[in-house]
Amino acid sequence: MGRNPSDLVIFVGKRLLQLIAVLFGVVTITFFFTHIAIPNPCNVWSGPRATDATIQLCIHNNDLDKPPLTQYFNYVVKLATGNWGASPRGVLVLPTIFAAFPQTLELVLTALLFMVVLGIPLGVVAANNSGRWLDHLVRTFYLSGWATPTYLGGVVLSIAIGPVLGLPRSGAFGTIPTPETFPRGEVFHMSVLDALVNLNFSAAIDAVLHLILPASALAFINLGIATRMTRMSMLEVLPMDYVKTAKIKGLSDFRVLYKHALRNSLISTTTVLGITAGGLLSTTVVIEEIFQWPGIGSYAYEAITKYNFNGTIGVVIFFAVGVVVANLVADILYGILDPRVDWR
Amino acid sequence: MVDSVLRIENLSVDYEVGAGTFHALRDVSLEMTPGRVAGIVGETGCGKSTLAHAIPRLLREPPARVRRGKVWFRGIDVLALPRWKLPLVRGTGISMIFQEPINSLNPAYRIYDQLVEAVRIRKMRETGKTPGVLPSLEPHDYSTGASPKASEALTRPLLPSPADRKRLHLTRDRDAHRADVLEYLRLVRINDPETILDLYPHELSGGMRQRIMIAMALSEKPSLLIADEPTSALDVTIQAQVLTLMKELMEEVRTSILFISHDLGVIAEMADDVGVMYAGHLVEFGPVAEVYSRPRHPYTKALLRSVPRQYKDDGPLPSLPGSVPNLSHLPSGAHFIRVVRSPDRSAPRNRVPVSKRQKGL
Amino acid sequence: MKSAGVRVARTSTVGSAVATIRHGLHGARSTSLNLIKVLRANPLTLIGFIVVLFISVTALLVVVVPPVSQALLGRAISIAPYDPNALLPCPVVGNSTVCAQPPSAEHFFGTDRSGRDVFSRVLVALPLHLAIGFSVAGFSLLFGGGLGLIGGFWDKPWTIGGVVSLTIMRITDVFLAFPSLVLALAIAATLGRGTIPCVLAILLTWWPYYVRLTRGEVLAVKHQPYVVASRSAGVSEGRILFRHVLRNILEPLVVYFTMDVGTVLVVFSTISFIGIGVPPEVPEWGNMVSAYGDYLLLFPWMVVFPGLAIFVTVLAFSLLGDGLRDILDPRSRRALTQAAIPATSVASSAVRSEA
Repeated sequence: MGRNPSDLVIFVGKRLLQLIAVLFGVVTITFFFTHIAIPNPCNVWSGPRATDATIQLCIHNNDLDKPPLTQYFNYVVKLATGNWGASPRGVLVLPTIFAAFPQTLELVLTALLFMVVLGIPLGVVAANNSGRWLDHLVRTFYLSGWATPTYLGGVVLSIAIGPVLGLPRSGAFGTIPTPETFPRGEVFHMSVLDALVNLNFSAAIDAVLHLILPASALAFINLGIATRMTRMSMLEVLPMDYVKTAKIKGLSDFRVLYKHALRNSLISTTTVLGITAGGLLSTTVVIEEIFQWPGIGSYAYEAITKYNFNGTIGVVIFFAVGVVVANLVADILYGILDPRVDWR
Repeated sequence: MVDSVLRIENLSVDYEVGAGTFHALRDVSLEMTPGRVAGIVGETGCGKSTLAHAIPRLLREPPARVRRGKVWFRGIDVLALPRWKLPLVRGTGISMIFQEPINSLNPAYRIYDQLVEAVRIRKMRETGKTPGVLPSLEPHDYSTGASPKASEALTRPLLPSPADRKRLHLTRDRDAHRADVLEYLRLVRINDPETILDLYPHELSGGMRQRIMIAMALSEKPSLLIADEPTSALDVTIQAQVLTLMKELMEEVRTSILFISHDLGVIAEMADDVGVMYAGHLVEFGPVAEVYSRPRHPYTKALLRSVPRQYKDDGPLPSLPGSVPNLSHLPSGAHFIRVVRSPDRSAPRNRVPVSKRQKGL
Repeated sequence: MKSAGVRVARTSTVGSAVATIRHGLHGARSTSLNLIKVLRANPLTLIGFIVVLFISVTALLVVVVPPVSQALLGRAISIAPYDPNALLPCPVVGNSTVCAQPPSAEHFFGTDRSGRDVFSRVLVALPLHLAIGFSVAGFSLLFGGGLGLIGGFWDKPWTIGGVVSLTIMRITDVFLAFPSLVLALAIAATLGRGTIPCVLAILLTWWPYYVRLTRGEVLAVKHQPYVVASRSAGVSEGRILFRHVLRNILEPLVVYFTMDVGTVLVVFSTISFIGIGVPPEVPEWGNMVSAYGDYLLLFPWMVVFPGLAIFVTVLAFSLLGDGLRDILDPRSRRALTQAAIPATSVASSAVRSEA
């Protein structure tokens, strides 16, 4: 059938092309908002404290006196070559984003891990006991998570629950890494991995402790998605004949549920989780601010409150790219997991 | 007196659906003699599938409810077993094949993986290391075949000697497992079974899939095989092939089979005994030749009369008037009634009692 | 055997099966009597329904009572006990003025650090939230749903409809790439901050979901046997669209919409929390948590009550929507009851085509 490894290249390739098309659309929209929607872009770009001279310089540098299409072309070229502008103080945007991203990635991946490890079994339990009190309990639990805005969960966790559990409230580390404690420096820019790479195990444990609260905040709110998807697809799968076949073979209930039923419902759950991961990125803006986590979210928060125009737009584009990439990964995962999908 | 392989006593099963209770099985009792094929025949909706699923407790308990009755499988009260012991009776004790082969196989796993799972369960239980076959349950002796040419694959014990049983290592004996799987596939007349091992179920035809299901069920050497309309979803020609296959296998190994079908002809061909079901009741049971030639219950008579016969030309085809009554509101007493709906829906429906309750039924 | 003068209908076994199962599933049809019974069986949905009703009525009262009372009585009465923006005199304790008072008989939810009554502020924020929730979700449903309908129904490749459909889907994909919060950031940086830009940002990112959802549903329905049969029988496209497609996609859309009201609320208050939504002093639940989050342990009432307000509101809508799904969706409902009865495929397909 059309599922040879070479076909996979075609499969991924087709989707990569789509990705590029969407990226173009994204850039176009940001262009629209930054160049077209504002009557005098440079007034906004240079910040509230800019002088006339700065504004004139800005207009000249950014070709704002040229026709829109030229502007668009130059804009795209600038973005593609990595020139994403600088903050009012002159700090380049793109390198800052690249440095801050891994830290956020660590947070998001941990949250995803929580969601999978906690959310999926909960969904299985709910589906298996459909209609009974256990089902209602699980549903109330994940709907509560859904109903709790990110900031509320974050605030409550960090201020009320964290101290009770003795978990640290802010930052990624208790103390800032120095050349003595981290001889190899920050390689990954991810707190736990960096600590391990530097063989500083107490710092690693410290980093894990710092990671728990913010990741839990992220996970709790979105746990519902994993649970609900799993529950829904399990409810579709459980009445299927092949589950009956698995039971009648003499397999234990546990094996039937997790090896036969779940495998088929995971297909849609994984896809949804992949798409959610993209959205999780933007939720980090709030969580990182509350927990003082040094990632992109914090950067975004700072950029918007301190009128760092280039920084804000840079973050916007970056987040959009993140969403598109996450969707791509989800799509590819679906194609791999469902044996019925033809790769050609 | 040898324990009959299956004895059902007064089994009654209800479904709680929306606003009402739907009596799917009412006081069904039957006893299967070991080594014989018992057929269950009846109209759609008469409860045959419910009966088939109730025996190994495959009914979904929230809507379904076993009101009363007992199911004895080789002396074990299946309905009273604690849930954790239930898998032990299934597979190597009671096995089942279903109607839609496309749905019966897991679409996410290859054929080999699904078949080897069954083989491994059987082997594990034969070693005695897992509490597989219940202590009181001796493995069914497949070698008591009427025909001297007993099918090798099914009569040869998988682990012949106690030494083999001790040595069984599930992962290291991969080649042995593979050989067993291939042998079972050849048993169901699949030529070149090596080619299909790595395929997924959706890449095979319906007939192939049903054969694989049969192979999978038989590979665990069950004492009782329940076949729930195994050929109803297949083309007529494929149906004939699969039925022939099953008949040949049955002649060789003489396992007990409970064969469900709505097709009187298929039952006539496959079964030794037949039970007729109507509206949740088992209205008649007996050797197939006798029930077909001398039916005693009016429903059986009507059913047999309604089968179109090829060589007669007596005018319009006889059929049963009206339809099966509402199984939620069966009146007591008359057990064989047809509900005739007059086209004018405002008029009250007339119940036509075709015959009153027979004594003893 | 006497058939007392009754007409004998010749029905096949399929017919008898349908009759049997139809009678058996009689309770599964949605009549209003049955709805009440089902609501009672789903206690969570009932709770959600009641709370949503209560909240909506309260919001309505907050908005409607002042102008009506002004017209009728000559003076405006408001349900809120105090003016939400009034800085009430703070009691003096010892030799310091302590403005933040815990909940009491006069101030149900206490007062905040400027002396404002928390209960009034929470109450007044309610209609704002509901209005935004309903309007954004409603607009997205109509606009996005309409686009999805077009995109799903007329999507044959190489026709005008096909090209339009493709364009719609590509544009939708682009907008889908922007999370609401992120676009709000962009708009705040370029067009300025405030409630309107915030709502605009949410609107722009919300309609794509409805396009996707509607198109998916339309595609699923389009290929059902009864639609294909209608078309080949000569039924006009318009009739097919309205009679079959629209009626069948309405239910998942309603479910999604109900849950969405809550979701919009969460996003809106999150944007306000960051500071680029509602102006700082306007009573809004996100604003209030943002302003007083740090004092959670000192003066919990200032944070807990707005937080509870949003939690309860969104939970109610979610419970209602989630429960509605199990009640209304004919596929899942019928599939659940059907799958429990191991009938033969002949009967089950007979029931399914009755959609």
